[in-house]
Amino acid sequence: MQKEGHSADDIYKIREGDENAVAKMVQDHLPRIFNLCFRLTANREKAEDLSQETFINAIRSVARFRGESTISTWLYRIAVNAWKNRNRSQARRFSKMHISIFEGGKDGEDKEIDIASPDPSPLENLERNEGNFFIIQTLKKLEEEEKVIILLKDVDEKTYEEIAGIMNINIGTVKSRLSRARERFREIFKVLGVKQS
Amino acid sequence: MSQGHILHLISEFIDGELDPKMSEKVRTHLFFCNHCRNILKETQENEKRLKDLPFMTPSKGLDQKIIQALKEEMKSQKPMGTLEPSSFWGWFVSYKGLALAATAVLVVVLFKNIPQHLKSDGLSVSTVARHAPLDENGSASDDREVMMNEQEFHDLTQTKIAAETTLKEKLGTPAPIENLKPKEKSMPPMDMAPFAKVAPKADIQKAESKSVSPIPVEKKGEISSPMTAAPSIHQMTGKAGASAPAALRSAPNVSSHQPGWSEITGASSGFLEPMAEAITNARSWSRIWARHVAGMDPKPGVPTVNFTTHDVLFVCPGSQPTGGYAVEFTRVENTQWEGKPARVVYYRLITPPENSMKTMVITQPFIFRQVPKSKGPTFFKAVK
Repeated sequence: MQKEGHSADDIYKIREGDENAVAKMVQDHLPRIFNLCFRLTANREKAEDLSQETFINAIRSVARFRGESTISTWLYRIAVNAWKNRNRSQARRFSKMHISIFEGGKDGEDKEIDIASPDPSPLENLERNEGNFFIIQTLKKLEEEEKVIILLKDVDEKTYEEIAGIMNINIGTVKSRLSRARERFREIFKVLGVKQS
Repeated sequence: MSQGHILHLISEFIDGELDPKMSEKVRTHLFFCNHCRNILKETQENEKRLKDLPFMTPSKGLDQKIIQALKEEMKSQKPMGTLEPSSFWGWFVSYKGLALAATAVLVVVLFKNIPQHLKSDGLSVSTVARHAPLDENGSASDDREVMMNEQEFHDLTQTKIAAETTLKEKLGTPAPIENLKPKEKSMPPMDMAPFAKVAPKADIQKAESKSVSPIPVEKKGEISSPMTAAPSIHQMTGKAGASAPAALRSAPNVSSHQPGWSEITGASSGFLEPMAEAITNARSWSRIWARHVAGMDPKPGVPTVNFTTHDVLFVCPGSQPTGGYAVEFTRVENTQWEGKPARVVYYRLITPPENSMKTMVITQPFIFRQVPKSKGPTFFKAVK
């Protein structure tokens, strides 16, 4: 994974439509963005869609990017906002649909209409085998903001300043939210019955 | 969350975001509080579990798929200036065309508003413009600038020259610029006499140590002014001395400057807020001592300590409402914490008996004690 090495020139080139600069941005940042998207969605297909949506939104809004943050922080911010928007539109859809435990039959329909239990995708079995199943289940039970801040800090190891830039909050709020999120994570993890080592 | 716990600080403590003083307080609290220690441990374990989650890499080809999608997105976007160059309308609505149009409009507007006197109408360009004279009602009937002819201009110029000549005669001719020099500061040479015989630093220290007389020990019952007295070894005020441990009262009067000092107590410290610190190096020692003696005159020199073999324990419970307060160490324990050596210091605030006579001044009792050096952290615990 390449380090953050972009300059103002790279942004300028992306704005001008330089395809090489755009390709470089994708290759440099896709691994981390995908990892974040996967942890947010817990589903590979959704994570790929979300990653693509992130980069497309980035290209659409590059003219407004003033370079006050790094490209990485900017892309993270776009990914988090895209995920939140998807959640909202999904919540609106579910509120109108008939809730059923069976999958939809026609192509193109959203198959994940069972909200009673998490989506049993094959990758979750992988997580279960690797012993991280309860961590994933705990993450799923967190609120949106709690989940984002825990992933940014404890999984992506972002600094408080970077998290503040990504979530568009001040550092004091980062500290208090992170403290509450970690406390909730600890309580939920305990309730799931995992014995602390 | 129970009162007295530090759960709200655990997250920042784990991330190393607390300032050193707060971090030390949290560490001390954790030493004595099982509840907070357990929560810290669980939080740290969860943090490790999250860090150890496998890094999920994208499928092969996803990057190319995204790059292709971005290329199509960029093509579908038609920013200004990218319409077909052969189309006049396309070029006109581009930013270049609009900029040129705006410039042209500006030029036209400016041209229309060029002042009349700049146009050629038979008058000299060098004429001075003046406004039209006021009408009989005192208002300007015509606010346009009025041209002067050559004769009027000449008359006006001559009048001005005459006025300037009169002014010069009154004030005198100013000095030419080349003659103006900055004033030289006429300061007397500096008298170096007071600095002529400055002794080297080592000599000063020796001289000081020789000239300091032993600090007198106050007799029981004597009431001193704690605000101005230098710290004396085993100083006591009021009747508190009667209840103090015997070891303190009967200790010899040892000058604090002698290396062999073991304990310094007093009732007047520069620390107004509670302090408990294990001093392990000379730099911290001189810093703390300087603050401790800040309000004293004369200021006693820093007592000698060999920090290779000793530490200094310092406790000051902060400002107390009257005289008669003192502080003592009850026990110093060497123990283990997280598999490493640690030291626990127990201290007690001695309060004056209820019906005793007390000086009605605010005091800051303190204690310094030299102890053998410890390799690990030191925790302070107040006991009753």
